[in-house]
Amino acid sequence: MRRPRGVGEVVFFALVYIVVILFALVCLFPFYLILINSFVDNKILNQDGYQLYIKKLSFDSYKFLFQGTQAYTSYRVTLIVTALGSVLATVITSTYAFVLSHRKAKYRHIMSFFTYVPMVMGTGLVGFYLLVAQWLHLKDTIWALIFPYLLNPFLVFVLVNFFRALPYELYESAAIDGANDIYVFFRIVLPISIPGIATVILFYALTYWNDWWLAILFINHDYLHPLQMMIRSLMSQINATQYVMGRSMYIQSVPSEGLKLATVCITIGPIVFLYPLIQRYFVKGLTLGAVKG
Amino acid sequence: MNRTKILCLVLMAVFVTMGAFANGAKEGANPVTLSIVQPSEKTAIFDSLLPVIEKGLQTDGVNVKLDVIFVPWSDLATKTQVMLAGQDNVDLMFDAPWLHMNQMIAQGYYEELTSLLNTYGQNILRTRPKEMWDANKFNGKIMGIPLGLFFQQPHGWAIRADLREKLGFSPLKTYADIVKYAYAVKKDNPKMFPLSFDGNYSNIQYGLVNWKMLDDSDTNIRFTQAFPASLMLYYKNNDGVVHNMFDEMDPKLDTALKEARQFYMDGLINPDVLSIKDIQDDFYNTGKAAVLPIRLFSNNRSTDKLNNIKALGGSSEPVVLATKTPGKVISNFVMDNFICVTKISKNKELAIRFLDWVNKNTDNYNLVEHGVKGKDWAPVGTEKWKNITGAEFGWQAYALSWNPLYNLLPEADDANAIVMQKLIATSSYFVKDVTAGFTFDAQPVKNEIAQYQGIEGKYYPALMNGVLDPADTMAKFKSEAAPTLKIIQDELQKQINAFLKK
Repeated sequence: MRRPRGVGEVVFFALVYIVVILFALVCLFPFYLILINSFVDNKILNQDGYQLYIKKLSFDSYKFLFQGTQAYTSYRVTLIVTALGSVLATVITSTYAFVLSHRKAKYRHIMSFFTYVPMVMGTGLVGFYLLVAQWLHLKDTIWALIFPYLLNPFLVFVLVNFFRALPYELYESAAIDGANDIYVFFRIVLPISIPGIATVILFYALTYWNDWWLAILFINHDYLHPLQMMIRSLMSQINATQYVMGRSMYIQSVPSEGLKLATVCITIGPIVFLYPLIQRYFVKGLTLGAVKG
Repeated sequence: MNRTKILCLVLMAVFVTMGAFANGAKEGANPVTLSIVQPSEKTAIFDSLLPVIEKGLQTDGVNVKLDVIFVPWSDLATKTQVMLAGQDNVDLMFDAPWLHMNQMIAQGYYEELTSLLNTYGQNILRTRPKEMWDANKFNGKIMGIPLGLFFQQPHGWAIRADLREKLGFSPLKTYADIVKYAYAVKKDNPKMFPLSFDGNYSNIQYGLVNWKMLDDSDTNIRFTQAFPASLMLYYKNNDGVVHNMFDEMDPKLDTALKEARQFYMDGLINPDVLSIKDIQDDFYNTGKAAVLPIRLFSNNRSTDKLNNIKALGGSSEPVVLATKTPGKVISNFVMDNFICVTKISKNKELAIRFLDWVNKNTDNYNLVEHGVKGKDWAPVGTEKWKNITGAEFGWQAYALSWNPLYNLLPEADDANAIVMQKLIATSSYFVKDVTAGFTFDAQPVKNEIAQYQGIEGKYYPALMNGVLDPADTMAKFKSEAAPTLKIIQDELQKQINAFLKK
C-alpha cells in the first residue's frame, strides 16, 4: 500500500515540477519563436521585430527557399550523404574500435597510436585538400562528402572504452563454442552495445547533416551541394547585396529575416525527429546493468 | 575459312575504317574545357546563356567549353587560396587586392600577362585606357586584367522625394541643402532619424563623414593605400604626402566630425547607428530615414526597393553633389577587381583568347553581361539597355569582363546620372594621382596594421557618425593608437617617396 505523502513532500514535488516545467518552457521558447516567426510577414519582422503570435501569415520565406529545384537537390544530397555516411562510418568505427579494445589484437597499441595522435596534430588544410582532391581524385563526387568523416578518432575512443567495459568472458565462452571474431562482434557484442552505437550514429548523423566545409572545399557544382552549402550561399548572397548599395537592378526582394528563420526550421527539422528515435536507446543504456542478478 | 576468322577480319576492317575517319577528323574537334572561378552565384539565365556563349566562341574559332565554378562570397578567400595552393586545374581566377591578390602574386600563382596580351589580347588592351593599365600593375607587371566601368565609384545621396515636396524644398543641390532638409524632416516627424549611415566597422565607407568627403573636389581629401576606408591617414591635394589625422586635423575633417556629432545630438542619426545591420532597411522598408548613401548617381535600381518605399506612401530621388568640371577630381585609376590566369593553367593562350573574344565588340560584351539580345534584354537608344526577362545579369561580368568602353546604362537612369557616369568613365575627366601605379607593401608593418585596426574599430565608426564627442574621443584614440599609426604612416611615406623617385 502506498504510504500517504506528507505536506512537505507534496510541496517539494510541486516545486520540482514547477522548476522543471519552467526550465522546459525556457528551452522550448526559442524554438517556438523561430517556428512562429518563420511564418510572419517579413515587413512586420523588419518593422516590429519578433512576434509572439502570427500577426500576418506569410509563406514568402519558404516559397523563396524552395523556388527552383536547388532546395530539393540539396536536400536529396544531404539525406543520401547522412544516411550512407552514418551507416558506413558506424560500421567502420565500431569494428575498428572492437579490434583496438580486444586483448588479443596483436598491433592494437601501434594502431591506437596512429589513431589518437592525429587528433592532436593534423596535416593542415592544404595537405588534406591535396590528399582528397589530387591523390584520391574525389573532387566533385559524393564520396568527397563522405570519406573524410568515416573514422572519427574521438568516437573510436568512446567505443573502445565501451567495449572494454564488456566482460571478456563473453568472448572466451563464445570462442569455446566455436565462434570466430566476426560472429562474436556481430552476434554478441553489437546487440549489447546498442546505447554506444546509438550515440555514435547520432554524432555521425549530426556531423554529416551539418557539414558544409567539405562541400566548400571539394564540390564545385551545385548538383552536389548539400543543404548547408545551399543555405550558406544564400545567406552570403543576401549579405553581399548590402555592399552593392542600390547598384543591382531587379534584385528580387529577399525576405531576409524570415528566410533566416525558415532555413533554421528546415535544417533542424529532421534532426529534431531523429532524437526521439535514438533517445530510447540512451535510456535503455542507462539502466543496462543497473540490476545484477 | 571458319566463322571466327571471318568475324575477326570484319572487325579489323571496321576498326581500321573508324581509325581512318578519326585521322581525317578536323584538328581540335574536341573543345578544350576552360575552368573559370567566379564569386557569388549563377544568375537566373546563366545556364541557358552559357551554350550560346560557347557557340559564339566556337564560331569565331575559339574552341572552348566553359566550366564555371561559383564560390560564395563568404568562402571566396579560403576556397580560392586552397585551390591555388592545391594546384587545382583552374585557368582563370577572379581575384582582387582586397581579397588576396598581392599574396597570391607573391607566392607565384599567377601568370604575367604582357606577352600573352600582346599576342592574343589586342581587344582586351584596346578597351582599357593606358592609365588603367599603368595604374593596375603589380611591381611593374601585368598580373591580372583590371575590371571596371569607371575610374571612381559613383556616389550619391538618396532622399525621400515625397517629404522634400511636402516640406516645400526645391530639388536639393548642395550638402547644406541636404542638412536643412534633414532638420526639417526631423521637425516634422520627430520619430524619424533622417540620416541613415553605416556604423559597422566593416562597412565604414558608408559612414557619414567618409561619405561626405567623397564629394570634396577642392582639397580632394581621400583614403590612402594603407587603409582604403579610413581617413586617419589621408592624402590631400596631389602632393604624395601622407597626412595623419592625429597630428594634422584638416579643417574640413574637423568640421565634418563636429557636424556629425551635432547631428547625432539633435536626433538626426539613429542612436543605435553602431548596431544597425542594414541601413537601407530604415530608408526603403520602415520609413524611419530620409537620407541614404547610395553607390549610384541615379535612383536605386532595384524595383522591389522602390516598390517598398512606394508602399509606405513615399518615393526616392537621387541627389548628386559630385562636380561635372573636369580636372578637379583626383583618381589613381586603381580597379577593385581583376581576372587572372593561373600559372598552372595548360590553356593560357585559350584563356586570353576567350577574354579577348568577350572584349571584341559590344555584341559579345553585352551577350556576356546582359544575355541574349531581344530575349533577355533590349537596347534603349545607343547608351542604355532595358531588361526583358527580369534576371539581373547574364554573367556577373564585374568578375570577368567589365571595361569602361562598352558599358550600357540602365533605362531608368536619368540624364544627369548618364552625364556623370560618362564623365567618370573618361580618364581625361580626372587628374592623375601622383601615386597612381603605387602598390603598398604592407608586409613590413603588418603587425602594426593588425594592432592599429583593433583599436580603430572601437573609435572610428563612432567618430564617423557622431556617436561620441570628437575632441574627447580623438584624445583617447590618440593615446592608444598614435604611435602605431605613426609607424605605418612613416613606412607608407617611405615607399611612396621611393616610388616617386622612380
